[in-house]
Amino acid sequence: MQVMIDGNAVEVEPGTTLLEAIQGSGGHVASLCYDERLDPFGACRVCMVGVEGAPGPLPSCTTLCREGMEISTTDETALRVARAVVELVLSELPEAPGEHTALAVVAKQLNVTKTRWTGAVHEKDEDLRHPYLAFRHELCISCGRCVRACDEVQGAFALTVTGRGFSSNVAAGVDSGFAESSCVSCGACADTCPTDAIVELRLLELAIERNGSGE
Amino acid sequence: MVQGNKAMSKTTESTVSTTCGYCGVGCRLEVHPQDGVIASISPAMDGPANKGHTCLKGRFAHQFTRSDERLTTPLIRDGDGFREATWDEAFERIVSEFTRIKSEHGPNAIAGLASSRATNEDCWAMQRLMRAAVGTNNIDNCSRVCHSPTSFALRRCFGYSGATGTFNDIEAADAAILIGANATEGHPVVGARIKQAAINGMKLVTVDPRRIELADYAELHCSMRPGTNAAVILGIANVVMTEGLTDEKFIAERTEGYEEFAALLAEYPPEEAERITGIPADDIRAAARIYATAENACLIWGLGVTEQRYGSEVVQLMCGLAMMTGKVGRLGSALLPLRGQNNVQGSSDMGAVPDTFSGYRPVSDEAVATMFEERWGTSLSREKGLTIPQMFNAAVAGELKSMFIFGEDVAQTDPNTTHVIHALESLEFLVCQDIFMTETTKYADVILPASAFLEKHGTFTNAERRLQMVDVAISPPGDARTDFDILTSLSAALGHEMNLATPEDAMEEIAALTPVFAGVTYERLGRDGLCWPVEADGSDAKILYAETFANDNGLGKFNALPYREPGEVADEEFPLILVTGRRLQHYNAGTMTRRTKNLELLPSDWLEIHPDDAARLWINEDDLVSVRSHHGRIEIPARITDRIEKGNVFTAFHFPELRTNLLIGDSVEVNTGCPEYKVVAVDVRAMSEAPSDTPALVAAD
Amino acid sequence: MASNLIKLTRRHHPVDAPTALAKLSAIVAETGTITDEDIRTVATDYQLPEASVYGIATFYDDLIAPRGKRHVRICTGTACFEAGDADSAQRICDGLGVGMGEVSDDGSVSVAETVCLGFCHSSPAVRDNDVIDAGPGVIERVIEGTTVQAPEPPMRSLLADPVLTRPGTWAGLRRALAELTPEDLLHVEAKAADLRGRGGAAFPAGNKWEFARNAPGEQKYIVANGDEGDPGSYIDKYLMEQSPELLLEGLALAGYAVGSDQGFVLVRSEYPQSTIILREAVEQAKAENLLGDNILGSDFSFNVTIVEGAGSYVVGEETALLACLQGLRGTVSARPPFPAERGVYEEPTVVNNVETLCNVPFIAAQGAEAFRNLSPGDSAGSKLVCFNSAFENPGMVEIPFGLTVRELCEEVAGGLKGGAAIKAVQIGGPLGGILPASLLDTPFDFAPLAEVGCMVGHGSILAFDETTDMRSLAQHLLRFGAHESCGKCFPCRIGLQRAYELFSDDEPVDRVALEELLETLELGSLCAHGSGMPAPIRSLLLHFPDELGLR
Repeated sequence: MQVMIDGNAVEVEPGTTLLEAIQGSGGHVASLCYDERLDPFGACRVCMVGVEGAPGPLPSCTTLCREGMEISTTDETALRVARAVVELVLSELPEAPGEHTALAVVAKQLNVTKTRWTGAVHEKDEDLRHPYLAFRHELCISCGRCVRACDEVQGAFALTVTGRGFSSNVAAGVDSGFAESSCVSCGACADTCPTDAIVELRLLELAIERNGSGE
Repeated sequence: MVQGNKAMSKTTESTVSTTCGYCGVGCRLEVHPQDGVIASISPAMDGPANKGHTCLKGRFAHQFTRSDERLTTPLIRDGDGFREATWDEAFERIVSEFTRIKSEHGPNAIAGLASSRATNEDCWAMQRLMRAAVGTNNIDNCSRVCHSPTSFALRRCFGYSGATGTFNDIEAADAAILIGANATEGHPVVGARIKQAAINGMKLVTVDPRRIELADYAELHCSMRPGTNAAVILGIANVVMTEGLTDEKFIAERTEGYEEFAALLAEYPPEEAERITGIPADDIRAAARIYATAENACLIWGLGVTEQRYGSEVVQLMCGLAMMTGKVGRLGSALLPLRGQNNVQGSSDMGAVPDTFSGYRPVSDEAVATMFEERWGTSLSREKGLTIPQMFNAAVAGELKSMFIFGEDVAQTDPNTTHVIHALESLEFLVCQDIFMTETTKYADVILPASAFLEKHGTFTNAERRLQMVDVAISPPGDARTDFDILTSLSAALGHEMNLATPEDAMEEIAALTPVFAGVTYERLGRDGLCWPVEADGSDAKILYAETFANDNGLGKFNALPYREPGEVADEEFPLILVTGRRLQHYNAGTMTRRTKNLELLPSDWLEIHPDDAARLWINEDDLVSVRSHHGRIEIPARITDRIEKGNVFTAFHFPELRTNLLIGDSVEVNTGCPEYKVVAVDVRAMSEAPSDTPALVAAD
Repeated sequence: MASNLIKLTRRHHPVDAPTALAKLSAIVAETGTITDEDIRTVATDYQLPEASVYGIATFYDDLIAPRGKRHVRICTGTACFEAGDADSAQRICDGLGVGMGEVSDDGSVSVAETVCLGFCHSSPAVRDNDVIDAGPGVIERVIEGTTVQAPEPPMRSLLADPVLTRPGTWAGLRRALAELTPEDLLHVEAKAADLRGRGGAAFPAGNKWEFARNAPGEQKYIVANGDEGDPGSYIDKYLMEQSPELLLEGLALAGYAVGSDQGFVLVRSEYPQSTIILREAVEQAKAENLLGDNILGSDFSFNVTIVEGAGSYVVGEETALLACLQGLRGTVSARPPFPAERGVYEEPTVVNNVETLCNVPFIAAQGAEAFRNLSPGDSAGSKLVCFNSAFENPGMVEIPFGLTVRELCEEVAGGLKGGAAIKAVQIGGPLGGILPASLLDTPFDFAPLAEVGCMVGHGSILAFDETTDMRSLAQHLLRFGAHESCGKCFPCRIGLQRAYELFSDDEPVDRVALEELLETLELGSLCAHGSGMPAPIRSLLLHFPDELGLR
């Protein structure tokens, strides 16, 4: 079938999501919860795009292409929602995300430089018990990428989202840390984490060393 | 467009793409070095085998590269110890000893072992060193002790010595039988792919004496008596035949020998298979139906099939099962051996074996031998050389005087350790080329400090027959040199200048001399690699035998091979059967992984024992137990689990202090000499009950 | 992320077996708290990953609040907010000598909050173990330990031939099995009747059935959504407790039309009686061969399993409901896939609200036309509405569509107690807009209510008198919204917290920021919780801007 992306006709297979169609045609949509290896999740709501005739912007990762659909990746309303969401995300972290993180990259792409929201932030909760993986819960944005990577790529089922609402976070095992869970230390969670909430310990040390020497 | 990985790479200064040097899956890795050390490794999102994933070995177990224990300078024996030496000194010593031994006893008194861990180019240089510089076909590699039966059987039935497809067949399959492989621990990335496929509807049948993790995701798990794989396959094939689940067209058009095969199958109805294997007849029927009625199905196996007395026969029977159901030669219907080491496939492909040149062409083949002689400018032996077990026997018998062991710790990993050590002690001159001191280097006269996979250039060939690039992320420490450099330089010192300046030169020579690699160039390998056979135009073969088999007449061969008892059986004195295998956190001899924080994740090993056996033997969880076989005795803590069948015990072989292989005898595979690691009769006792004359922790002799 | 887990749970358990969630609920009811050891045991017994069980145990209100021997739950629904004093919860805590969300040192008593016990007709309400007491004096009775079960509300029908406020007779199922093919029931009756979902979204029920019927899959399921979480509504509670046969008959008819032999009712745990009564009704129906195998001698078999929730408002959303039904974290999933394609255990599933299904027996028995003729206006059938305790005659009434809100408030419910003036009414739950007194002449029907930013929703009509502080109401609603966010989508998870924070102190509210936030919630949220919570706030901004303390 054919869809129009920013005015250009693009051929797609039935079942293709808007995001896949956009990326497949060389376009780009920012996203925080999308990982091409994982089932679409639709949580972050940053990948919003405009669709002609739709009552509002649609999440491109979970919306399927339909014949003749006219998709806009520059829709003002969609971008406004995406920016507002990223601004909200920045407001839940106790510190700005590291420059190299996907969150910081997305924020930059969307031109979100700071957040005007004050209020509760996640409490610092650092778990360095595993020899290779650092878990910094305060940086978790509940995108579920680590949990899904653990379930859908590795199949270790060592991680879960915990709590609900603003208190949502991620835990390994019975909140017992990686080493005391069914974790197989594959590191898929750290690969996909967009904020360094789960990060390779060695990289964390290197970053600290570097920041230390830069001062 | 995956954003996580960007995060990883941006933390460090540069990225080198390479191929993992651990197991045979062949994960593509992005290595991020910084200041001459590895800062981090992440999986390549476009890795054909790993698709953006890897395991804790490939990803994390790299600190061994800068371990203080790395060998950084050549060492020459000095009394009970070693002294540091220059490369010139070391080479001079090797040249003079090899020359002396050759003149006194002929070239066949020298043997070499190539490493399945090393690159294709390293193995090429090693076999050329032995054949052309030394003048012997006494060259083997450690695939001898793992998958040589697979190689033998596939070649015999289908023509090529490798998997018939790729790991992409796993997701395309509707069903699979996994036999003798604990994939989630031994081959974690493929294990994960099998698990995901099973969760997503692929009907998985696991056949293993242990209820492995994947059994939890299987439609059916069959626990067989160790050593009875042949009867399992024969029983399944019997059901396929008697229930009319065969693909008659495929049998008629593509194969030969079915009638004899069918006649043999008639002797193995499910009840007979149950009697032999202990698997209920109905489960054998169910397994057969799952496999045969699936549109597409795979057979996947590991060392649990091959490291047995009749391993190559079992693989041939599996080939028969696949052919009688027409499940070979298309996407989703493949035979996939899980190769143990990163380059088991490649080391044998390169001809680092005593009987064939590269591409499995016999050393006795005059035309081939002449071609090699012309290229190398020297005459070559037409006689088969010695296999690894034969080398050790020859050493003990005083016929073999010297060995050059490259990247293998035979004193830990090979069976009947006492015999191996005896062999090493019997040698007049032993050269080891390695990255660490090992159990084997203890017996060396010269030790050459070599390089790890992150320090060299070349290619590995994974279990999919896929050649993939290996690149340099860091340099070897101290005066250590790359294996390729060492081997080509030594060859020159021995008087045979290879004229191969770089591994890429070696690949050009390999391609020129080997039809199945004709079109291989580094440029073509790129990021995706190529699955051999590679035509001169660079087209490769992800799926073999779509139209025809690679035998002389193009037909698949059924081989009617009956079940035979394993080399060891339980008896009154040794009433339990020991099965050995791998743990997720460690790799083989542990030379690498035990020098990383993986040791924190798994600091020691244990013996798995069924609760009933534990109760009968008064063994509690974590009790230290004695495990005694015909060949030796070890001590190890016990863990009680119902994942193992009553009557069997299990442990791994990663920890040299436990010396598990002391227990393994000299029973070997009939066609290939692969040791029978998987079936050892043992007696297990709690150490708290130790008698006053406890046998020593060495061989029973 | 739940998809792989569902495949795991299905692998090891029959579909109607109790789930890990049921086991966790039982543990907390019995021992007061869930230990790590409990989680490991449940994980082993149910062959689920430990982490997944931990995730479940940290999601539901019932499983989080520790319990003493006597567990007191104070209703914080909107009706109780309207009726109660700001300090009543504190008085109970002080009186019982235990903090909110805590257990006394000796383990004898604990206090927690709960959202809507369905006694909005007699607010304030408090649950004392399984006794629900409500009305004047309840605080004192809780403190003294003399609580009594509050009476059920009065019920009336304005229809000559009531559809919903009558006992079930199974006449619809009898007729269907005797006279109608499944296709007839679906097309000639159900679709033609234009029965719209009564749970809030007003989606045509017949279309849902048709999707599921046509979806590939051998096994199909019918699920009754008995998670009537909307504070202020006790309609489904009434139906489940007073006319369980109607619901079961409706489920069976849906099963007949769709081609399913298994139904479920997910009942919220705040309605302890509903679960008990429904289970009894299932047993009774089975005994009479109205459920079970070969119903009334036909080829049609249908079983119903009653499943209890564990304290989560969002579980009323259909994808979250199915997650809860399967014993997992009750989070919302993106659609597609719709439940009609991939629902319970990934099979085609119809999810209908309780009241929706209770209409089906009438349609099956008397036909589509009779159903359409029940109401004079555009919408077919009748509607149950319920009034909060501010009204002179609180309780439940079956009405035809088309009366004005004023008629309902002033004539049907008799105006407010003591002749007080209505300041505003909230219709259809916390996601419904707030109608100021000036707009009471709006007809009570789907389209006219939507025009003024309101909705029929569940059908609750909750009046606020002149004493209600609208800023406090906004804060109350947003507190509820933030607490109940499942946490899956970012706008709702963070946005409702921020919205609540805007109103949670005495500082003026930045109107620009608030309006942008509301837009983000409306346009960005994954489900109706996040996108609906702005509706009442928008109403307040529109009609009562001066009371909100804006800047």
